[in-house]
Amino acid sequence: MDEHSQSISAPVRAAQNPTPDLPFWRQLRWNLIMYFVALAVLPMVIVVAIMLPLIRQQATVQGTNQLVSVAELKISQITRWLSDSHSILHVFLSESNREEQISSLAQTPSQATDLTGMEPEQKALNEQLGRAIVAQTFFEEFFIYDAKGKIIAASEPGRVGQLVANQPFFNPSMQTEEHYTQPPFYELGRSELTMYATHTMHDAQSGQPVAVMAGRLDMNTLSQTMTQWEGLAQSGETYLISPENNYMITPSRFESDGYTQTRSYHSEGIDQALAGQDGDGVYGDYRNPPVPVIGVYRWLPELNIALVAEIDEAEALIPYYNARNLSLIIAIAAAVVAVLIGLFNATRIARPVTVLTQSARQIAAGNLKLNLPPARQDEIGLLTRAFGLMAGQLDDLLTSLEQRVADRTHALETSAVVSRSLSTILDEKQLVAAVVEQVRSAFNYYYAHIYLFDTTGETLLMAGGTGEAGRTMLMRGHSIPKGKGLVGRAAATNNPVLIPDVSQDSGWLPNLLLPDTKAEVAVPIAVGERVLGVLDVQHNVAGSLGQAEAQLLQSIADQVAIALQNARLYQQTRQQAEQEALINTIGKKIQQAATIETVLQTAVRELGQALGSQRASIQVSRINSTDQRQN
Amino acid sequence: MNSYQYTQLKLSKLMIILLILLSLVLFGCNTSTQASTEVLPASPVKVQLSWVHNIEFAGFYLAEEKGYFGTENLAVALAPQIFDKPVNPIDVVLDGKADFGVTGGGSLLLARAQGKPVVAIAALYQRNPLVLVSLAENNITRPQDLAGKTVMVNQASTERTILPALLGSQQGLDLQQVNIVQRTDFTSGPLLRGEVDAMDAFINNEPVQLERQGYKINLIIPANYGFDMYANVIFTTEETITQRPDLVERFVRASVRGIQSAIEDPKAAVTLTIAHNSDLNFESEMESMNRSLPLFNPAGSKPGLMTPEIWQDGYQILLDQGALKDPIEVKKAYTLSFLNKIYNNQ
Repeated sequence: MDEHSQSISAPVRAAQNPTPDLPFWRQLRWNLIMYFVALAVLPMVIVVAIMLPLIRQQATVQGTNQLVSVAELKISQITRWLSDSHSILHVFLSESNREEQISSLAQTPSQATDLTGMEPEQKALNEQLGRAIVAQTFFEEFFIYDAKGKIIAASEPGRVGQLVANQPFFNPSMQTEEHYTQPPFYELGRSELTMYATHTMHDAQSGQPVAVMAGRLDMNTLSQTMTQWEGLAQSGETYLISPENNYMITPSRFESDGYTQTRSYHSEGIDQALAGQDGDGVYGDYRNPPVPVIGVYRWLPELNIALVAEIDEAEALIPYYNARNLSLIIAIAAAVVAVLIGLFNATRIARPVTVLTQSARQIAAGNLKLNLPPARQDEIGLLTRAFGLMAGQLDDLLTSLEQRVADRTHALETSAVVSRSLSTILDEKQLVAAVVEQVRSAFNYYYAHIYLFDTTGETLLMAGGTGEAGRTMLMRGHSIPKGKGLVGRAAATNNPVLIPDVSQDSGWLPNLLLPDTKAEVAVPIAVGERVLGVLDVQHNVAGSLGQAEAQLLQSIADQVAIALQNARLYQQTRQQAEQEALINTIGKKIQQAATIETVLQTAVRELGQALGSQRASIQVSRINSTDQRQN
Repeated sequence: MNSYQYTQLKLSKLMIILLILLSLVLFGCNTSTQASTEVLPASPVKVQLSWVHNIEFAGFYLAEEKGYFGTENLAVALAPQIFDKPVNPIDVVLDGKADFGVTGGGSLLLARAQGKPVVAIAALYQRNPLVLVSLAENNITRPQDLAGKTVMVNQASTERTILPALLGSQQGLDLQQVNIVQRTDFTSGPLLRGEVDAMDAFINNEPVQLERQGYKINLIIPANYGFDMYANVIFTTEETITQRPDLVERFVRASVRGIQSAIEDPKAAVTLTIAHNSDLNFESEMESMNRSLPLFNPAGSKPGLMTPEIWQDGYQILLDQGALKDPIEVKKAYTLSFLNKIYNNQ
């Protein structure tokens, strides 16, 4: 009993957990979700993996290109500023015969100890220089020095008499053809960078330098040029850097962060440019710690300084980072959507499968009354429907099978009861009456009756029937010729004759006494080849009688045939026994007679009584005793 | 950026990595050889400074701080001047109380003239920082403007003593018209009190203080009038150079590296200077440092360098001004051999 309940409850327990034994990676649901995610994310990842480096490269190229154009622009501005500066010196000197005046002044220097003692030419030149300095914005002061480096005239007359021989621009200005630009340097007595432009005048005959006009350039112009960072975003900058100690010549954009000009700066761009190389690249800049920048660097040989244009890579690559972040967001969103779709679809697919699995388990457990989910319009729906149909049909089959077994059992039981009861009835009339009644009532038929052949074997006489109709027909002595009608045919062919629906059979003859007959079957009552009669059953439901009923009735009819035969044999045997007993009695009486006379009289009397004759006699003849016997 | 440049970038990165690895290997070798020399104790070196701790010695501070002395296996002790007990660095070094000293080029030449065997081995300042500072209201912009004025000069220093005469001879100024007084007060007080019209100063010291105090000042910069004389050189004795040239070279190398470091990172130089002399003010010393840049390393030069021309000019000035009575052999007063070795090797 325990075993039985376990085997029943196991599938029920299992059915509560849809996937009791599978690890999640084997579960259809999770597999589907993984496939969806993989499908959504993989192409994205591949595309992004290919695109991002390209976008990054593109952004770097764009950043570099922008910096190159900025650098070129700055260089052209500086170049123009320098050439304009030199033009100013040139213009000043080319006025009237100023160069000649200066040359003669340089070759005959004034010995004056103060300004008042200066030569009129010298004073005039100072004034001219003073006026000239006011008239332009490129220079902060002008002065003219002789071949020994002594200042002979200046826009600031206090400079007259000073020596510039140990200034860095002195020797180059003595050696150049005409122009020289002194790169920015820290001059003694000035806390700021200083830059000079010089114009050398040569002696017409000897070609030797006789005097130099020098102008101290306004470095603010340079700083302003370099610190115009419009269009360079938040971190873009351009600056000039000197090979002298790697100091910055123009302020850093990050000066407020402590990156002052007077400090050594190093970076790939700075060091390359100061080594005289032009180029660009991505490298860590001069800040501490180095910030990765896109940089463009140029060596400016005429100024002996380097120009660097840089922008933080992080800022230059903002489009790239945006693209990357967007890709990431899309990838995540795609993954989330894929998970949701996957979850939805996996559930849609996996749940019916789970339900079907449960159902299969229930079927296995013997429960065919399934409660399947409503079918969808897809293959899963078809499967569910087919499964439901299968379960239904199984159920029907099982149910009808049980019904049929029950019916058949009932029929067999009836048949057995009928047979048992028949075996006890030795009177033919009683037998027939019992058979028809039991058959009709056992199967709840409308009507049943039996015909038996008469002595001729050509006519079937009604032997008994159920109900009023049966009695009426029996009283009438209803008979059917052999071969005629259902009953006749059954008798003639020794085979059952079945008409499941009488309305469909044109040859069927209705019986007025049985108006409700809708189906009829006649089975022969036969022992082997010898047909004794016919059992005919009628029912008031069309189609209610079939082969199964015919076979069942046939088996009953076979029992009836044996019973009939038994009854007839019994009758015959009894008659014979009675005759023999009579003869025996007569014989005993005769033997008791003492005389022949008495013998004869007793014989005649007893025989007459036994034969029921009115007159009996014995003739004795001596001639022929045979004749006597014939009487 | 095209792919070629990319490759270049990668190659250069690779090169950098290789260089780092190489340098690590070399550094490893270096430390191992050092380890073997470290068996010898570091050479003790004493340096007699010419002034109290201040920005002009920043090169020494950085050489110490950055370990350049240590790298050269030197244990350097710096001896600053004490206001109450000033000493002559030349005498201290000659007495063997210090291995190296700092003094002015003029003083060194005069010492040589007295037969003291001292030799300059490197310059701290390559341009002369001496100036005559005056308040702007005195209208002294040129040497000629000194006529009829009172000028305070530290006559304990030969360079400073000859300054007015030099300017006078250069610019045709009659020294008789200048009232030269001995410096008694080492603050700017006499100038501010109006006791003098101009006074001698270092370009990176008093003028900075005065400007920071809000005074408008004028400077006469003798260097702009041909006054080329080394104001502070590192020197040692002829004996040391002959007997311990290795020590001298190591000391000079570490010192010029220190100066280079000071130039490269003025802020660190100032921070270290203040660490040596807490009387100093950071902002003021930063300004001093900025003004010192043309002294430490003029355009086109390198830290520590000296030139025969400037030595010759300085000598000539001393002769011209009568500070030197008899000619001496200038070339023996200095040696460029250590500097040449250091820079040629670099």
